[in-house]
Amino acid sequence: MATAASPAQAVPSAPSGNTLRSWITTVDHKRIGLLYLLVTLFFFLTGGLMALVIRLQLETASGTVVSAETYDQIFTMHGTTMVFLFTVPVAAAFGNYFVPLQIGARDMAFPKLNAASFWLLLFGGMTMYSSFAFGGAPDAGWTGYTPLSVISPGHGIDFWIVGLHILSLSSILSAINFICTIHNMRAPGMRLTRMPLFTWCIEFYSIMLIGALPVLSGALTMLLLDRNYGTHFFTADGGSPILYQHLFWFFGHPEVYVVALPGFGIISEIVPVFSRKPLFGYKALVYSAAAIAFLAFLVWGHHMFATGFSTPVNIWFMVASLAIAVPTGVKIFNWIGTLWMGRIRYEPPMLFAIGFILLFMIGGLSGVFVAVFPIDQQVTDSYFVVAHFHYVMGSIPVFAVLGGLHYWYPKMTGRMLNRSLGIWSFWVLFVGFNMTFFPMHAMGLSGMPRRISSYPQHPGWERMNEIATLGSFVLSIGVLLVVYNCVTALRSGRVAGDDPWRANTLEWYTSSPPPPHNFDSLPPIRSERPLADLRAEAAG
Amino acid sequence: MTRTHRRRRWFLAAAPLGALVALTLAQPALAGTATLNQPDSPNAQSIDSIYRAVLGVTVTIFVLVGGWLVYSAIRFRERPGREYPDPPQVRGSTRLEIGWTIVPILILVGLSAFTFYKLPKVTDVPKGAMQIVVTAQQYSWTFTYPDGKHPAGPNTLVVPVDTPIHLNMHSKDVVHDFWVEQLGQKQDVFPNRITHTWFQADRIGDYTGQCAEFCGSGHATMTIVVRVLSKQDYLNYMSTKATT
Repeated sequence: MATAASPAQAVPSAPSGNTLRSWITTVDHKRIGLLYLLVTLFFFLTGGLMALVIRLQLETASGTVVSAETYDQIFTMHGTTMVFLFTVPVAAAFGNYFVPLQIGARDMAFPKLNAASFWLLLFGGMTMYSSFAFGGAPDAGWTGYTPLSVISPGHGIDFWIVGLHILSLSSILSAINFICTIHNMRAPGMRLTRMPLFTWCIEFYSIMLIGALPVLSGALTMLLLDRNYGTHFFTADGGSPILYQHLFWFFGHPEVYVVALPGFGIISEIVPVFSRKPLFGYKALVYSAAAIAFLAFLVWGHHMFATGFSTPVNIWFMVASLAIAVPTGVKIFNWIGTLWMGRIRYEPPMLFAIGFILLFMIGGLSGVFVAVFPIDQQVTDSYFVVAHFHYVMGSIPVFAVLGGLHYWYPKMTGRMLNRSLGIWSFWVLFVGFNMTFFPMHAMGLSGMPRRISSYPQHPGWERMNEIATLGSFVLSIGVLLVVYNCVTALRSGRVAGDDPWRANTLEWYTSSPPPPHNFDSLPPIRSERPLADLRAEAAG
Repeated sequence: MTRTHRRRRWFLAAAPLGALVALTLAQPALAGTATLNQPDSPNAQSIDSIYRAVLGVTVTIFVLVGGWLVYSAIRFRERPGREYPDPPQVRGSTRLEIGWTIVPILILVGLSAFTFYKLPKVTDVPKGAMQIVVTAQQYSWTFTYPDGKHPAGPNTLVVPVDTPIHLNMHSKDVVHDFWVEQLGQKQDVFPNRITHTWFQADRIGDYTGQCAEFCGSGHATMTIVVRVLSKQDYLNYMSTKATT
């Protein structure tokens, strides 16, 4: 199987050059990866703008910036956008660009299917957003709990359902494509045990998507029938509203790790390169990713501790959820083990990686609180949980993904980002992120529920909300700095060369940006660090 | 001094620091910022003690591991402008890795054991509790007493102090959630289903809470006041309101 990847392999040809038509009709994995990246980052900015409206609304207790109805639509679309249109597909952006390069392949296994996944993503996002033009956006939260989502008037929820169906299809197709690529297109010598960690994580990401998304699609279809065709799967009169929660979270918890694992993969690429050491415990990192992917399917009930399970059920979900802390801890320890005794170069990607580990540790430790069900029964659906999942689901896109962007930008464009601007963006983002989300722990502990548009009876919550609102603007400045850096470096950035970081994996062996056929030749692959092996050989 | 010694000293310094932070956070002055609001019901108090145990353990872990991370990140940095040889290419250590798999397991087993020890006080309703029916709907709460009356009007529950109160809850429309933080855990309220929670207020006064499950545009207005009266005041109140 490993011999399948030779430069001569037939790939459907597309018009070359930089014409609009060549980009629309492209089946080149690198161009599709860039399109994914542009579109997901656009949705990230959109979701971020909605977050700013949320923060402005909550800055004062009376909440007068938007009406309660508009507020509901905005937080629903903020969550939906960030989860389905940014954090999940942005992994496919890097996956598309770098998985074939990391395994020494010519392209993805199914280039046309790959293009279809991308266009479905764009189309799904547009479908969902077009609801604003047709009488109102969805307004039942990104979780769309029934029966509220069944009785919600207008067609916002229907747009949401159809949009999510399209996005699920996009993700499932791209997941199948990743798995086929990883298992059939590896270059000679690229055994599974020599695969870069990022590619491993995309493998688990894909397996989890295929396991989880069909359950979501089933639940959404039932919801669509309930809303439009008089069925009673989840209705208040005869249906089972709680069934929807089971189905949603059976998808929803694996989804968290669908987002997390590619982030872990990116960090596992950056840390060894800038420590000039191999990963500490390569196998442990792969096994722990596998353990996380498996356990993630057993813990959905910890999102439902307040629904009134019997105590034995609660105990099962608590113990299973706590168990995830073990492989997650292994990852963190192994990353620090890689830093230990290393020669750490502080380029921006490394700053993002270390910042990510620190923030993810906070999210992981607050995860212990919400896994212990008596505590969760106090803090769930409060701002404590909002803080927790932003330290997990928010630190990944802001620090792991932007870290990955700083790391791989030279490969994708051939230009270096401005180093000092990169360092500045990191610190602004780091300060802004903590200012925004850390006070939310305290808001939740003092009783503030999530998804409220005002809190006139609790003026005492204003101070913490003011800090968070201020923080969200600092965070935005950080994001704008990154955007500015990326745009200006495209023209004025220093020329990168093939391998500006002294990196380890095959994508750095070819030119920056790589030619359409990726590689003219490949080095021998004898470990998970073929380029480090080459350097060692050259040094004698 | 050897590197091992230095490492050991660093850990010796960090561990008491972690314990100190945990102790500081245990001060009641931080209720509502680092810990839950002042708990005034046995179930809330048990949850609060579980919370404090988890807080102590997690803060200590964060100080130790975060400290190790930051220390390594600073200690092993390259100074700009100098050329360094590659560091030793260590690929892992089975002993260490088994260690940092087992130690977290032991910590989690300990935390779970403490939780199970405290659990009966959270879940078990004391005998002879006053039964109150709670009806939730967009966007109000109705509390019906054993005699079929609801004396205090919507969103307000009047109860005697030191008396176990058992709530039997259902919803008329969508999912809501009953949450008065100082009096105990949240409980979702469903249509077509009865769910339960309980509390026993040990202090006289007004407690505020609100619906904690998003239920529509009026979600933020669906507040709860639990008015706890002395037993005598409660009897007086009920007799004056007997006609409502």
